[in-house]
Amino acid sequence: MGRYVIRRILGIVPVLLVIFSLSFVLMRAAPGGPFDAEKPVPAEVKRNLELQYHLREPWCETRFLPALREPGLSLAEERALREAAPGASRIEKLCTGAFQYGWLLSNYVQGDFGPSYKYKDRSVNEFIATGLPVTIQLGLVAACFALLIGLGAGLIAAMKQNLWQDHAAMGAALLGISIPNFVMGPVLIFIFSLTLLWLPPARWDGWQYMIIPGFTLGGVYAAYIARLTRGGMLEVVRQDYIRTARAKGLSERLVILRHAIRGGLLPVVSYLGPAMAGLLTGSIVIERIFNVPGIGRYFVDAALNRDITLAMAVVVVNAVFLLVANLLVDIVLGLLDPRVRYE
Amino acid sequence: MPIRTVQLLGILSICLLALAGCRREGATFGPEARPRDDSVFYVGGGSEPESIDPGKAYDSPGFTVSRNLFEGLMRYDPETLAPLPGVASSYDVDESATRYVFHLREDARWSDGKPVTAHDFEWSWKRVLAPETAAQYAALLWDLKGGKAFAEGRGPIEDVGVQALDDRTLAVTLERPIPWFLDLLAFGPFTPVPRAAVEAHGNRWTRPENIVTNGPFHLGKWVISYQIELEKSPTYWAADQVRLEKVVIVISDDSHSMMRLFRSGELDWLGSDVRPPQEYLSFLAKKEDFRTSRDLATYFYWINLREETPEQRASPLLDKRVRQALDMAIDKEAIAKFVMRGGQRPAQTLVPDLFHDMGYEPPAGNPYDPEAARARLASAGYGPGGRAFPSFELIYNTNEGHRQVAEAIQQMWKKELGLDVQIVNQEWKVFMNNRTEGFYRIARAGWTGDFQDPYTFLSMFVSDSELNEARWKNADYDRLIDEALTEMDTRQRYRRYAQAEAILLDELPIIPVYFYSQNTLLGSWVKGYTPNAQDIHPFRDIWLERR
Repeated sequence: MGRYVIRRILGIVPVLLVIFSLSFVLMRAAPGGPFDAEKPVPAEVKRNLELQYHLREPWCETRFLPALREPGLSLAEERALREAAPGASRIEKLCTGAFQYGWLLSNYVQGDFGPSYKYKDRSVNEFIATGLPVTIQLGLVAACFALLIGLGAGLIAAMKQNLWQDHAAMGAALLGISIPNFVMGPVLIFIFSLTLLWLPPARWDGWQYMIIPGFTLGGVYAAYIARLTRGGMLEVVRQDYIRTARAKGLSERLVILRHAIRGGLLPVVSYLGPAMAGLLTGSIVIERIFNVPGIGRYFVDAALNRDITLAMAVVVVNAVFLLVANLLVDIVLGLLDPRVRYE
Repeated sequence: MPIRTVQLLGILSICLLALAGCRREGATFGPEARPRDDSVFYVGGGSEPESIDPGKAYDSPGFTVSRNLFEGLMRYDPETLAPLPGVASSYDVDESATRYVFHLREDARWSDGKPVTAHDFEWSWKRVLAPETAAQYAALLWDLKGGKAFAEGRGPIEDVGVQALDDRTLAVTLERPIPWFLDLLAFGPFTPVPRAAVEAHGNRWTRPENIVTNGPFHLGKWVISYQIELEKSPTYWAADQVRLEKVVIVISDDSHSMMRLFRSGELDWLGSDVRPPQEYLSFLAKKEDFRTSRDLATYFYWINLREETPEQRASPLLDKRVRQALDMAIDKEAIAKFVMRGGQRPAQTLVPDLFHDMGYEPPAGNPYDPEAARARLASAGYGPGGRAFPSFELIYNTNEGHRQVAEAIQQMWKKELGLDVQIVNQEWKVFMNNRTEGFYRIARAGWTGDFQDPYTFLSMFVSDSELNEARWKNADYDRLIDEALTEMDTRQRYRRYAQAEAILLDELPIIPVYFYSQNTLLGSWVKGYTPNAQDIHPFRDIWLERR
């Protein structure tokens, strides 16, 4: 098993490299740059910013389009220059991109996500370092809700198959799956914060702040888990070994808790990998609605701001989570299910 | 069994409705009285500031923070925003209005106890100008003698027209007289920054553990994308006038969540960087804690007048009569009243109506007159009996409000002029790229004044301005704006501006739509707040009523 784990971990590296490269190319290809704004900055200032952030590379300019090195070039003049020599301009841009790619990659290798393109006095590491723990906290709270509610409802539904408890639990699960969390969130806020005044409507200052966002985020997953648990359990309780257990005269509680659950929960466990990653990224909307200072919001904001480094960092961090979560799930599955072999 | 489920759902929904029914419906949207009793002011702060370095800050949230941390030679009057003595207690200006000598007050101190000196100002201003600082507002200091040359790497730093004569005397020389120069001195790029801290910590100097400030507050805490805490500074020269102990700026650009925080009493003021969502405006308008006032900003459309490509040269919009027809066919009154619904005023001119109160007499502009609009279009050869008008695109950045305005205008042009216009939304950076590169026919824009002189609007349209995204050129206009600048007398200057604007409105490289308004939610217990043109409210002059 040790070799299996090592091989899987080594396999993560090329996947990450592909993700890194793809997100870099996508961010570079998007029209508009991080320093475009309604009140445009003077050409000189913009050039300095671009130099500082490796969007301009003196070496490439000198080599492929030396006219760009002329001091005091206005934006319009530069545009005209580029239009006059489209081929050279394209090569120059590719060259700059290659330099930027190398610069970013060498930073990544050293564990540095680089400077933020929008927040000029901050490094991306700071955003990740302050945001990630909060996102993980929110994800864990949501996972607790998802597991408690999902497993509970699923087990009840399975044991009371086709009775009203089953219909109620599965009806609620259907609702949970169909109501998107950007609807669920405001509705819960409306009821519990603004009307009953029990819980705060937003922000992240203690346990009472975690309840509504945690529940909202976990709700959808609870619903899926409930359905998976019910399905898994129903399948398992029809198996021969359960009949054997019952025949031995074990109480129904022992049959379920000792024998059925282990097999019945396998679908839930394999779902947990992507679910955990989903809980961490699914917080994009939740973090915004509840003003939670995690990293989820940067998925959208950083991309829209063309904050190349920040956007890439959240993608890579999330990819790491997804890959690690899947690896953990595979290991746990092997422990739970004797039919699984590590090869 | 399914019937039971249905019954259960029915009971659930009845419960929900009952809960909704007991929602409080008072005269105010937020709490009637202040829920806390301390001197901590909770303010909505909009998005995370790009930078709070006053020299490099670019966005409004950044300036909101830096304005309260650093004080320039002048500071803002909280009611009129006119310059009041800040670090400078007095100044002399010579006859040519290009040389100022500022006398700094003795008791101005940094938060580390050191005195604020004229050398601090000299160093800080030159830092903003220096190309390697890449300060986005550096152009404001180009009017210092030798400033632009130094910024562009053409002149030496010694020739920049700011010089400390001694610790408490600062001499400033300008390239040309600037009537509103004193107003600028309260603005970020003109405030001093602590040289020792900047040199020691590089771009980490604005962190709470490194920062040294000279304003009414210092930085207590800064949690990224969450909150910024400002604490009253005991070393500030007028600390006895500052009544707030602490200001907590809550960061979030989600206006709905900010509104909920205000409703539950966790915010005292929505802040100047957060606006209540448009769909709530008619509901909020009836509440006592809702405030609306006029903003120094205009909503308009650019019309692309570039003639660089064959396609651009074929644009029917190059004909002035067509542009006038487009302008005259828009019922701006209806847009302000029924589409925006938040105290906006229809705009026939570019320069906002706030300037009319200050003695600016605007030109008439083009009235709403569909009949005349059709005639203009016909005289340009389009419409019944003439050529068919080619359909064209109008672009705007993705936003619900912009979409509604664009749709209304699309309807009006269709109905009154029979034009086919496609409206296209684009994500912000794509949109900005297309606009600055000239890939558009008509594009949405908004412009906010940086200072209280119509120049901040009219200077956009001079022929060589980078801001002139229509690439409109008019020699008479350029001349009038140039002449206006030499007029130190406000009335004379405004007269020139009005003449220039008359040309602009006749030529119409833009279609003005409405003047923005500032809508906000403010607790009744917040005192010392006066609505003003630029929505600047220094925390030093605000206090909270005790219960």
